[in-house]
Amino acid sequence: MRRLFRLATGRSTSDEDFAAEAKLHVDLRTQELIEGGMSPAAAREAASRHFGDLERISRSCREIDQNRERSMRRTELFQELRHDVRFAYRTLVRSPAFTVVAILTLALGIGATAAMFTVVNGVLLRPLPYPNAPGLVLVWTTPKSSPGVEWPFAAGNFLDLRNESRVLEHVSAFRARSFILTSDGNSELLEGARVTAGFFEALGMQPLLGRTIATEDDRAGAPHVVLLGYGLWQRRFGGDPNILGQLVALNDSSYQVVGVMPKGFAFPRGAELPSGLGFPGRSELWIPMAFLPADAENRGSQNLAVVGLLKSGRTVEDARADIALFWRGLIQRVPPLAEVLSPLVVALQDDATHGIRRSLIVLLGAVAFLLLIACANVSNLLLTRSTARHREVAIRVALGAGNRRLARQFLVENLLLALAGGACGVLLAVAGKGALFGMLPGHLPRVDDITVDWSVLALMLGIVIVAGIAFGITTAAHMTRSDHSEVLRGTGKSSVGRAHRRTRQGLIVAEVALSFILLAGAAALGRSFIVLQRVQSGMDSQGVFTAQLILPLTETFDPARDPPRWARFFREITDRLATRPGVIAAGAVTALPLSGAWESTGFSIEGRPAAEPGQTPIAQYAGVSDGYFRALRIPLRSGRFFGAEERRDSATSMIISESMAARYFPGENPIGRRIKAFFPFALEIVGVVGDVRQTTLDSPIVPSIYFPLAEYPAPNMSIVVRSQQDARALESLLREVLKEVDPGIPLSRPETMLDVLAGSLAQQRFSLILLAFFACAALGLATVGIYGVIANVVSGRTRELGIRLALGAEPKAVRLLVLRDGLVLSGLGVVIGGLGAMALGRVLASLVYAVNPVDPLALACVAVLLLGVGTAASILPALRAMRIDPIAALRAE
Amino acid sequence: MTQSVDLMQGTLEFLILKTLTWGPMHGFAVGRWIRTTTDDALEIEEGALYPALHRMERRGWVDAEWALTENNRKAKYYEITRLGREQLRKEERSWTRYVAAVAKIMAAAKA
Repeated sequence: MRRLFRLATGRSTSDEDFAAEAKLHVDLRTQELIEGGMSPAAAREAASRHFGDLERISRSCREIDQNRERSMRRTELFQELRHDVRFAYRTLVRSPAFTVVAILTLALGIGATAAMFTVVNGVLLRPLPYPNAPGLVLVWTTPKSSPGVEWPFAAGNFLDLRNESRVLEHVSAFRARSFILTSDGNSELLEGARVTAGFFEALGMQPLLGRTIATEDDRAGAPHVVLLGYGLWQRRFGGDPNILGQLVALNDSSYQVVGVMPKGFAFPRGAELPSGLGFPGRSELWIPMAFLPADAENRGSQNLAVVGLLKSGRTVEDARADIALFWRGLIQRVPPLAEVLSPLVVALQDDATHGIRRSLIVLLGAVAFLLLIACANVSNLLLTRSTARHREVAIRVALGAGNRRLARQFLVENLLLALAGGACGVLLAVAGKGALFGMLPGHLPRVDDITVDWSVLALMLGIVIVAGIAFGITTAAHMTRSDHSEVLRGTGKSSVGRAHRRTRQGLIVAEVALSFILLAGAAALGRSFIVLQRVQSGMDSQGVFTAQLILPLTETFDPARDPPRWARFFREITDRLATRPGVIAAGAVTALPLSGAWESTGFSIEGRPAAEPGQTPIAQYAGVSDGYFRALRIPLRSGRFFGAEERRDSATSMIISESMAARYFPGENPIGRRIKAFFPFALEIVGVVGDVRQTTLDSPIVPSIYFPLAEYPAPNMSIVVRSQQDARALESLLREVLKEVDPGIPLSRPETMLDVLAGSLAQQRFSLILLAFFACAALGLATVGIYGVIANVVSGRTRELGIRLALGAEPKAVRLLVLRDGLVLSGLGVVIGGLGAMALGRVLASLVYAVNPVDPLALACVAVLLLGVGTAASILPALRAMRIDPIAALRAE
Repeated sequence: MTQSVDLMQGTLEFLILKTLTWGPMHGFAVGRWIRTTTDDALEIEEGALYPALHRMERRGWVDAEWALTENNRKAKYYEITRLGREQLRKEERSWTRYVAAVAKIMAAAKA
C-alpha cells in the first residue's frame, strides 16, 4: 500500500491524500471540543477556523510531496540503472571470449573510422587556420590551351585587378622566396614569401608582436623590413621579446624586424597551393613585395599568386563574374592576353584540398563499410549468444522481470559493450595515428591541421550510441518475442530459431557483399598502382642522388643580370662532382622530373606560318647543364647532347623531346630547325632526347624543350649526381663539393631519385594501402562471421543431422550439406556485392590510372576468393557435422 | 486560551520527532500530544504541522502509512525512521547545548 502512494504521480492523489488527512484532523478536533462542552455546530466551526486556510496548507504539502516523489523516482531509476550496469558488467565478464571478440571487432571498426575521419576532418572539414578562411579566394590565370590549370598572375595585371575589383577586398599578391639568413657566421636556408600590403588583412591575421606589412613598406626603395614566423623567432632568436627593431642579415642585405607572427601561421603553405609554383611546405618569413614602377607594365611574366577576401555578402560566383568583367576590360588594353589566358577564381578552401578530396571521400566510404561489417559481426555474435541465454532470460521472466525491464537490461549491456569497443577503437586510432600519418603523402594538403579533436570524439560517441542501441534492440526484440515457457520446458527451439537464423544469414550476406565491394576497389587500385609503377618515367633513377641549391639573389649576384656567372657557378659544382671517384655523371636542372615544378611556354617554329589565335603550341621547358641527360640516363634519340658549344656565354641551341619531335616534325628531321620559345629570338635544335614524365607518373607526356643553362638561369637548381655506389653516400660528397665552391650556400631537399619517384606515388600508395587494409580486415571479419553462422546452424541441426546419419546418410553427404550452406550464403553475397561494385565503379574511376575500375577479371578473382573463403570457413563446422554421433545426438534432446 | 509560542522550524521538527518516538501517530495526535504534554503551553498550528510532517517525510526522517484508527477511520500514521532518530539525537545535543548556554547567560545576568 505504501508503495502505491509512493508511486502517486498526479496532483489528484496527493490532494486527496491531504484532504483525507485534513478531514480527519478537523473531525477529531471537533470531537475534542464537543467533549470539552461546545455545541457540535460551534465545535466544527471552531475546528475548521483553527485549521486555517486549507487550500494553502494543501498546496505546500503537495509541493513537498511532489518534490519527494521526483527525487525518489530519480534515485530509484539511478539505482536500477546502476544495478543494470553492474549486472551487464558481470554478464560480460562471465563470458570473456565473447566479450573480447566483440570488443576487438568493434575496436577495429571504430578505430579505423576514427582515424580516417580524423584525417578527413583535418583536411576537408575544418576551416583553414586563418580567421577569414571562408571568404578567401585565389585568383589565377589559366592557359587557353589547358583550361583549369592554375597559373600565376603578371604584376601589371595584378595591380589593375587590385584597383578595379568590386567584389574582393584586400586583394594582394604573394610569391615564394628563399632567404639565406646569416647570423653569428651561421647561415641557414629559410623559405618565405614576398607579399604586398593587405596580405595579412586579407587573411585576417594579427601579428603576435609589432605590426604587419604596411603600404609604406610596399614601395620600391622603402627601407627593408621583415616579419618573422613564430618558430623561426623561437629557434634563431630564442623568443627574444626585444626582437622588434633589430636588424637581421638576409641574402647579404640587412632587414629590420617589424613583427612576429603567431604560432602555427605559415601561409603560404605549399600544400594549399598548386604545385609547380615553388611554394615551400611552410613559410617562415615575409618581406614586402615592393614593385618597381616598371612592374606596372609587366603583363608577360606570370609569377604572382593572388589572394583576396570576399566583401561581406558576396560569393565566389560574384567574384567570378566581376573578375570576368575586369578581364574583358584588361583584354582591350592588352590584346595579346585574350589569346592565351583567362582568369580562374577558386576558393582557397577548395584549392587546398583539390588533389585529395576524391581519395579521402572514397576511403571514408570504405571505412564506413568496414564499420558496418564489424557491427554485423557483433550483431551475429550477440544473436548466437542470445540463443544460449534463452534459459537465463526465461528464468528471469518467470521470476517477474517485465519486458521493459529486460529490454532496458539488454540496452544497457549492449551500450556498455559498444562503449568499451568504441573506447578501445579511439585509443587504437590515437596510438595508430603516428603510423597512419607517417604514411600520408608528404604533400598532402594541411597535414599540419590534422588532430583528434572534439568533433572526432563526438562522432565516435554518436556511432557508439547508435550501434549500442541497435544491438540492444536486435537482442531485446529477439528475446522478448520468444515464448519463454517453451524455452523452460526445453521445446521451443525450432520456432524461434528460424526467424533468428534468417536474420543472421542476412547479416552474413551483407557482410560478404560489402567485403566484395571493398576487395574489388582494392583490386582496382592495386592494379592501377602496378601499372603506374611500370610506367616508364623516361629516366633511370637507380643510383642517382639529388638536392636543391637555392642561391641568394643579391645586388651583385642576380641571374637576370649576369646569367653567365650564374651558369658558371653551377657548372663548377657539377664539374667538380664529375671528377670525384665513383661519380659517373653530374648535372643540374631548373625543374626536377616528378617533382611537380614545371613551366610551360608557347612557341613557334621558324619557317612555318604563325598559328591561329588561341592555337599557339605549348611546350614545357627547363634549363639543363650538359651533364644532366647523362646523369639521369635520358636517352639521346638523334643529334647531340649539350656540350662545349653551350658553355659559351651566349648559346644558340636547344634540345627537344621525342614527343615534341614526333608531334611537330612528323617525318622530318628536326635537327637544325629553329624554334622561337620563351626568348625573343629563335634557337637551333641540336638534339632529340627521350620523353620524361615531368610532373607525375600518371600525367600525360608533354612536349618538352631544354635550354642550355647559360641561356635560362633560374634561382633554384636541382643537382643530379649518378654514381656506381649507393646513392645515399653521395650526400656527403655533394656537401663537400658545395663547401669548396661556396661555403655560404645551403643544400635543401637532399634525397635519392628513387625517393623522388616513390614520393610522386605517395598519394596513390596511401589510398591503396588503406583500402587494402580495410578490405583485408573486412575479409577477415566476414570469414569469422560465416564460420560463426555455419557452426551455429550445425549445432542447431545436430538432431536432424543425427537422424540423417542414423538413417544411413553418408557422412560425406552431410558434410556437403553443411558446405553448401556456406557456399549459398557467400554466393548470394558475391552476387549482391558484384552488382554493388559495378554500381560504385564510377566513383573509383578518378582514382585509378589506365585501369578499368570495374575490371571483369578482378571481379572474378574477388568472387572466387570470397567463395573460397566462404567454403573454408564452413569446413570446420562441416567436419564436426560429419562426426556427429547419431545416438548421442538423439539422446541429447 | 493558551498562549502560543512561536517555534522555529528546526525546533518544530525536533518536537515532532521526539513525539513520534512514542510510536506511530497521525497528525492530529502529534499536535494533541505536544499540546497536552506542555500543558497547553505549546499549540502547534496546523498550517505549520502538516507541511513539517510532509517535509520530514521527504527527508526520510519519518515514514507514513495509511491505517485505521481505533474508531475505524482511515488516517495517515507517521512513524520515525532510523534516519529520523539520528536527526533527533543530533538536535537533542545541540538543543541541550543551546539551553545550557542560555541558562548560563541568565544566571550571569542575575548575579
